[in-house]
Amino acid sequence: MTEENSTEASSGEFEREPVPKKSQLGFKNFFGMYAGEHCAGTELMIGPLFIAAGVSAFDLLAGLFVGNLLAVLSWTFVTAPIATKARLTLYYQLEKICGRNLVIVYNLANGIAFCFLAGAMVTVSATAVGVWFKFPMPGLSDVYPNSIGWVIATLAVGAAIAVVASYGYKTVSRIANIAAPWMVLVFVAFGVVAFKMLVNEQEANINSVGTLWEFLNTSIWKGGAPLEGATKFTFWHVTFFAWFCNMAMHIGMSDLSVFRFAKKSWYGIATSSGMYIGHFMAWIAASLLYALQLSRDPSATDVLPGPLAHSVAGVAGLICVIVAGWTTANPTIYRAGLAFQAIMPNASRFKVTLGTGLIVAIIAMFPFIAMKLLGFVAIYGLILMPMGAIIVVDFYLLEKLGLKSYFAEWKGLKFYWAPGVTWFLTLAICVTLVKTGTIGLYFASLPGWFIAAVLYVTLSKIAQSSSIKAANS
Amino acid sequence: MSKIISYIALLALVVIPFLFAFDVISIQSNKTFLLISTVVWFATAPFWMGRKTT
Repeated sequence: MTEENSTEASSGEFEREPVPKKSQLGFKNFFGMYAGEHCAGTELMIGPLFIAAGVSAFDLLAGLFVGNLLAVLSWTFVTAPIATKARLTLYYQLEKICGRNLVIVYNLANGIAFCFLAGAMVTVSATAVGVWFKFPMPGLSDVYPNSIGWVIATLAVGAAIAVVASYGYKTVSRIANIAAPWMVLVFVAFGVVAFKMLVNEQEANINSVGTLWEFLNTSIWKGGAPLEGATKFTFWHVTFFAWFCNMAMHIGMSDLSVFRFAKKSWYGIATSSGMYIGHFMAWIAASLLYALQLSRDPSATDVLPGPLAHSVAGVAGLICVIVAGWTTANPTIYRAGLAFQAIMPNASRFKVTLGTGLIVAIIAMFPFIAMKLLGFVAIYGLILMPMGAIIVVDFYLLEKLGLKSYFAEWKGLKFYWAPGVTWFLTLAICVTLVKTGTIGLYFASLPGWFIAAVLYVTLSKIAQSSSIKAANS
Repeated sequence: MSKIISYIALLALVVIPFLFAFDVISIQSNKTFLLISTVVWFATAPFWMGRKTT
């Protein structure tokens, strides 16, 4: 769920100018990058949480297929076309639309979200440490750390990641690239071995498609009531979760910074590697690990990737959990540091990244972020989504309506209130809709996007009318 | 040479779980062979992966 290569791309070059033709990249670069970055530590949490949410086999498999397809289409038809026409970073494009001060607020929101995401990744890695040192680990509904061992493990793992992120981002980035193909295959091993162990332990006789389907429905994704504290997931929940879990990147437009390097906009389909390897295969494999644990002891509902991986793949599984968490937390901390540094441009990148990493280590101590990861990911996408709608409307619609695109740049504004009010009002409406039970959290971003689009057009008309009249006269 | 050994390690990572699935090896052997393949991959891949050839 993270993007290490994009960090290099977005921080290294052409931050305030369009990417020139000679620096544009081919399809293979994007295919490989997305395949690696979406097979991460958090996949080991998400897969089991689907089972905790009481999902059925059809709802999971069909929902993941459709939801991931919608995500790929969003990258291909929403993000990549704007990225390859404007060829600007998200931040520079937002600055032209909203003014620098609003981008700072956006950076703050983005940076905080990254800290929580990285915290969940550190939590995942710490569960592998727990297998070795055998300290009590948190349960599915735990909010606070439940043992000294857990606190020490998360702080130690988090601090180590923070120091490495501050000193040696490039080294870890290289390790992440080397680990990527190995990690994908270890995830496949998780799924194959867990499935076989389930069949053996339940003495199932699978000899046809019919018996296989029955086994999936009665022994793995059984449907029915969710576990205590979890939201019941149907086909629609799975579909929307798979579609929107990377909403910040596609509809929220974060990946403008990535696809500005693409030669063609259709390279957006390269994201299918990440969606169908990471968010289909890896989620299913992680789900099978948890099903095996529940099959052995239905009361063992804790979602702990370390012990789950160890049970089917031994030490290699534990290494996979640590590496998956580490290599994905590292760029996430680095990106959070970059976002915060934009707010404090005079602070050194080393100190900001180290400080960010230590905050992440403290967040990781509290297991509720990882245990409620499905909800957190939905909130993360929801918060950043309105800015994506603003970019789309600004890029395609405003000029056609006789209004000015990149208004803040045109007027030399540091804070353009129309996109600011659009962002906060959209969030207020969405939160109200969710809180009053009008719409579920996992679905709120869809109407939210259209609400943001309509609000931005309306507020732009109000905000720009006098300026445009003055300019025309 | 190290590239060939790396690819063999990756191939082993693909084959080993299926050998367990088809009852050719035990779960303990599966875990041991996965670890050996992991060590071989990380010991050999850095020598060629991500290095510029030009």
